[in-house]
Amino acid sequence: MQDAPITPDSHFRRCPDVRFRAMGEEGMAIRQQAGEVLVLNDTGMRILDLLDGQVTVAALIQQLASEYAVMPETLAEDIPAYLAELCAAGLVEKVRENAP
Amino acid sequence: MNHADHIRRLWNDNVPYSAMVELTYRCNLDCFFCYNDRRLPGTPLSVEQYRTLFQDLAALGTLNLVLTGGEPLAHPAFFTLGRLARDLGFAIRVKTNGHALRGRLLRRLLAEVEPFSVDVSLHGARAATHDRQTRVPGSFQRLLENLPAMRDAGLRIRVNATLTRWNEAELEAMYALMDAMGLTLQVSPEVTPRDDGDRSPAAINPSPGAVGRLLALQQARLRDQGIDPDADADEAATVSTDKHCGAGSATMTVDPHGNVYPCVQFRRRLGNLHEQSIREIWAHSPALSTVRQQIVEAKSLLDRERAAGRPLTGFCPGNAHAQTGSPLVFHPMARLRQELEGSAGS
Repeated sequence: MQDAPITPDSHFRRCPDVRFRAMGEEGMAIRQQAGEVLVLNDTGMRILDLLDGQVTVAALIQQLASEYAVMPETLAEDIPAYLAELCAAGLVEKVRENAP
Repeated sequence: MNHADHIRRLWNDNVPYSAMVELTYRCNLDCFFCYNDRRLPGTPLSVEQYRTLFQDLAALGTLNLVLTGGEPLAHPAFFTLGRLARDLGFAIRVKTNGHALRGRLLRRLLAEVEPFSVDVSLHGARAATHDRQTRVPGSFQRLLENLPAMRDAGLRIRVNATLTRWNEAELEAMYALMDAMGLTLQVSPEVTPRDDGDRSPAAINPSPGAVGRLLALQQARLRDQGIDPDADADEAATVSTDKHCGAGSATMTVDPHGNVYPCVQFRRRLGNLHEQSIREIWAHSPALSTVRQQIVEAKSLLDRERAAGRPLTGFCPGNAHAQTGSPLVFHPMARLRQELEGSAGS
C-alpha cells in the first residue's frame, strides 16, 4: 500500500502512535512505539495536524496554499515527496485509494 | 535541527515542553525518604481544573506530560485524567511505584492512557533492603512479579533507583537484576530533603565511596554502549543558551493543590491554579521571572568553574535551593561529584 503512487485522491493519516505539538515556529513529534523524537518545521506540523485520514492530497494542497504564500502548482510538486518522507519516518500512513 | 538543539531552543523561548503533574500524595507504599509534603495545606484540583490545565498546557506547547504523585494511580479520577491527556495528544509518562500495576489495572493503563513510558522505583537488590526503604513488606517480591508482566504487555519501562546508605552495597546487584530483565536502570546518587524542608532523609545519603562507585559504573556502562561519557554536549550543540537548565523555562511541576513550581526539585512557588491559570502564571509570575534569571546566573557560575578547570556536572539549582536556601550555592553532592570527577580525570 505504501508503495502505491501518491495521487491527488490519495488519503493519508497520522500513525496512531504519533504524538505531536507545535512549539513556536517548529514542533516535535514522538513515535511512541519506536521511542523516537523528531523535530519538524511549521509546515510539517501543520500537515500532521491536517492528516486525519479524511482529507485527500488535493485538499491538503488547497488548504496549505490558502495558509502559506505558495502556489498550488508548487505544492503539487513538493507535497507527494514530502508525504513519502513522512511515511518513511513512520509519522503518517496511506489509508486508501478512491474507488475508480 | 536535532532534538538536543531543539530542547535548548525551548529553554531560550520559555516553551514548557515538559510538565510534571503530581496528582495526589496518597500512596500504597511509605518510602522512608519520600520527598512529598503529605501535610501540604490546600484544596485538591478538580477534574474540571485539570481539564483546563491540560488544555492550556497543550496550547503553550507542552508535549511531555508526566503524571506522578505520590502514587498517581491512587487518584480516584486517574483514568479520566489519563484519557483526557491522551485525547489532547500528550506523550504521557506515568511515574508509579508499580506495586498495583498488574492484571486489569495494567490492561486499562495500556488501553485507556496509552503511555509513552512508565517509571517505577527499585530500592534494592534484595527484599530486605527494598522493603526496608518502602516500609511495606512484600513490596520487592510484588515488584519483581509485576515488572515482567508490564514489560511483556508492551510498556516501555524505566526503572529508577536512589542510591542510599541502605542499598549502596547492592548497587552492582541492582544493575544486574535489571539487566537480567532487559530493563534500563537509572540511579540517582542523592537523597534530597522533603518538600516541607525536613532534612531527615539525608541520614541515609550514600557514602562518598559509593557515589564514586556509581559514577564509575555509569561511565563504564556508557562506554559499553559505545557512548563517550566525556563528550562535551555544550561544544556539540549548535543552539547556544544562557541557561543552566530548563527549570521554569521548558519544565514545570504542579502539586495536587495547584501550586506551580519551576521543576520537581525546585520547590519555589510560582502561583496557584485556584487563583490564576497556568497561562497567566507562565507569562506574568514575578517569582518565575526571578527563577529564570537565577538559572541564567547558575550557568554563569558553572561556566566560571569550568573555565577554572573545576567542572560541576552534578549541580542542580533546585537541590541547591532545597539544601542551602539559594539556587546559586553549590550543594554538597555537587561538590562531592566535582571532587570525584576531578580526581578521576587527573
